Amino acid sequence: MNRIEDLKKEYEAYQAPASLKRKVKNAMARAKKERRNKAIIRITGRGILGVAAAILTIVILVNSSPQIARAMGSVPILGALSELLTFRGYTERGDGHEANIATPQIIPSKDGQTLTPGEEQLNRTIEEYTQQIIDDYEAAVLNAGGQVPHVGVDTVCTVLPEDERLFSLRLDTVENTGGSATYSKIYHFDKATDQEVILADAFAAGTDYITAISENIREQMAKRMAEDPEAYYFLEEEDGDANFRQIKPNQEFYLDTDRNLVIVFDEYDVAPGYMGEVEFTVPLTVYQDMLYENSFLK
Amino acid sequence: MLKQINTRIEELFTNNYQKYYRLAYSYVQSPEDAMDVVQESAYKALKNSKGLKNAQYAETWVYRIVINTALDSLKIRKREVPGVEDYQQEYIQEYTNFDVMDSLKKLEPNERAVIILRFFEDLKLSDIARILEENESTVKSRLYRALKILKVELDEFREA
Repeated sequence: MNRIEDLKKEYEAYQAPASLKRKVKNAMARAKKERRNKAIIRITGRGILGVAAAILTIVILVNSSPQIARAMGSVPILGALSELLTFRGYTERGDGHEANIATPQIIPSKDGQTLTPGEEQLNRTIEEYTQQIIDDYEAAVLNAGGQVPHVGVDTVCTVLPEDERLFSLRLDTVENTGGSATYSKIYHFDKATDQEVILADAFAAGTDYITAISENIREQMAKRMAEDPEAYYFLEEEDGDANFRQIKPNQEFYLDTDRNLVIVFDEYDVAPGYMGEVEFTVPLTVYQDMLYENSFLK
Repeated sequence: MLKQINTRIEELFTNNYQKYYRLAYSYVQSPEDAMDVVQESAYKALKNSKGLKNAQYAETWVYRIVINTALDSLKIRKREVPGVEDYQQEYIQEYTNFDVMDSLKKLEPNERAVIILRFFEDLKLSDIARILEENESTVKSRLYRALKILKVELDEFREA
């Protein structure tokens, strides 16, 4: 195989410019930094049946910060709130079905401290939401009608990039009942006003942020479809009702590490199932003028 | 567990970025684009490291990312067509009439990958199959087909 050896030598003679080593290092540093701001907390406790109030072991999968490096019952919330985030876990497992549903709750970081009314309300809201998921799961298991219920529910809770004003918590739920569906609920808490906030709360009254942002998203959808043959969004369906028209006042969103507004759509909402959950980053210029003076999006 | 995986990924890129560069270059045919592909791959690999279940497979997993990133880059830049860029090569390779990259360009991207990974990076067929997400027999037939094409090309040159 002499020729191959020659070819190999020639091939190996291709060397990258010296700057590549540094560029690669920078790229990896950037990835690590972005990960550091996102703590993914997953409940992995198994074998505890129906003990809703038990605090399960939380294994932090992504960790570079020493503060978050523990497998304990609670983690510090960085940024906006100085409290701790803990989890009540619901785990149930049987023949053909399994659920790991985590209910995150804010608790005071020091004994004797109390939560603000807003924080307590947020806890209740979150609890109602996850309780609904639990109820739906249990109903699905009970209603299997004698057959083995093939139901699976898994939730992942993510504390979104820290911010001085906004505490954001994302709950992703994956349901497996025959097919699989993923949906997200993102909670935002404005520390300045001690209130849970939705997207509409960032904008001044009377401004048409909905149209501006929706138009931008439609543009992005068209662009993505033009550039990527596999991308598909409900923009020009025969059934006009299925088309994406505009976002909602309580549209799911979050701020990424560079403080860009990212709009999130559930699976099947604006695109076929295989696209999964879709997200769009909306440039500041699109909505900057419509923010109210003291907006949490600034 | 994840920490091991992340360390392994970093190790791979720090030690092997030249290999990834060459592989990327075989697709994108330009130093700048090849560098972009390697950087982008390093970023993606580390960012999505939880997609890798077993540190054992880190090497093949990274190769796959590099190849997919290179293919994406081609889609965006559409530079597969041999054309003006080739003149640059001619000037640089003045004293070498025969260029391995030119040869490889005659192959389909996946045939190229098989030749590079098998003969230049010395990977096993099973690893290559994993990287290209195909079964081994497909990889094998690709390999033979590519060798056939290459040999023809080589012979043509030698006789010239």
